[in-house]
Amino acid sequence: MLVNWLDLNRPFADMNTLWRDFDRLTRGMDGRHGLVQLRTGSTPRVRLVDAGEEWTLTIDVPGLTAADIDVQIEADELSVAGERTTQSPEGYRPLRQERSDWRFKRSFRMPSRIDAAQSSASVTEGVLTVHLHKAASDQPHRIEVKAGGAA
Amino acid sequence: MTTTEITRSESAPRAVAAPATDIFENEGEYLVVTDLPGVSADSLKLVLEKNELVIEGARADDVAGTPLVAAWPLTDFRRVVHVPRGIDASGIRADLRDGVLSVHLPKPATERATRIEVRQA
Repeated sequence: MLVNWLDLNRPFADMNTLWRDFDRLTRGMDGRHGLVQLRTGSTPRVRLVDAGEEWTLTIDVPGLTAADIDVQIEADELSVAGERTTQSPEGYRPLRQERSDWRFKRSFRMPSRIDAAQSSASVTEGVLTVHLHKAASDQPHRIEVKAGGAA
Repeated sequence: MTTTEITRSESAPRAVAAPATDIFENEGEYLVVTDLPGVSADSLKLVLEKNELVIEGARADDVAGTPLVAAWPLTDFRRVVHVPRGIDASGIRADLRDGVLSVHLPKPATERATRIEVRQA
């Protein structure tokens, strides 16, 4: 503690030690079982849900805008690509850097065909959301249930 | 008809992740940059207390539906950044843009480098 107080030029010097301890304590935990999760940042996070008429894919892409992301649909496959480069803002000296650069390209093969014309993608608040409309032939169908006696 | 949607129950505590954070400095200020995807300015809380800057961001619920890829459950964010004492809270400026938070903290006067003029004797 005393050392840190005297180390006035590096007010964040103790953070690395702190993070090492934190990493050790939380190793092996995941979000479903522990309240604490490991650091974010190394790779984009993907979530995909089946919402009935469509699948909805969301990817965390903090710092990216629409121009940085490429989304392609072909038959039953979705491809998403993006790149992030972080730089020290001009005139600043880095004291600690955790936000990483990454380049990702991922493909998702869906269980059935995608209606590309009715699908859409948008990015807001650093989250990419892709709505993949299921092709008409793969939509849920209602099947009429008849009374048994008439047959 | 009752449709059962397989989603996170309302009462379950959501996991909290420590967001990746960069810290920079120049002569006049510290700059803290944090990734907070999916957090709006309304659901972001910034508190400076003594020598701690506490960043808390809550995410909106995910779209309803049956999860197909559950590799990354949705998390809220919390991060505590240690900063020097004496920062004037009224001078702090924070911007949230494209899921990235930038907090500018003016250095306390005692920390700023002061150039001392040397006069020719």
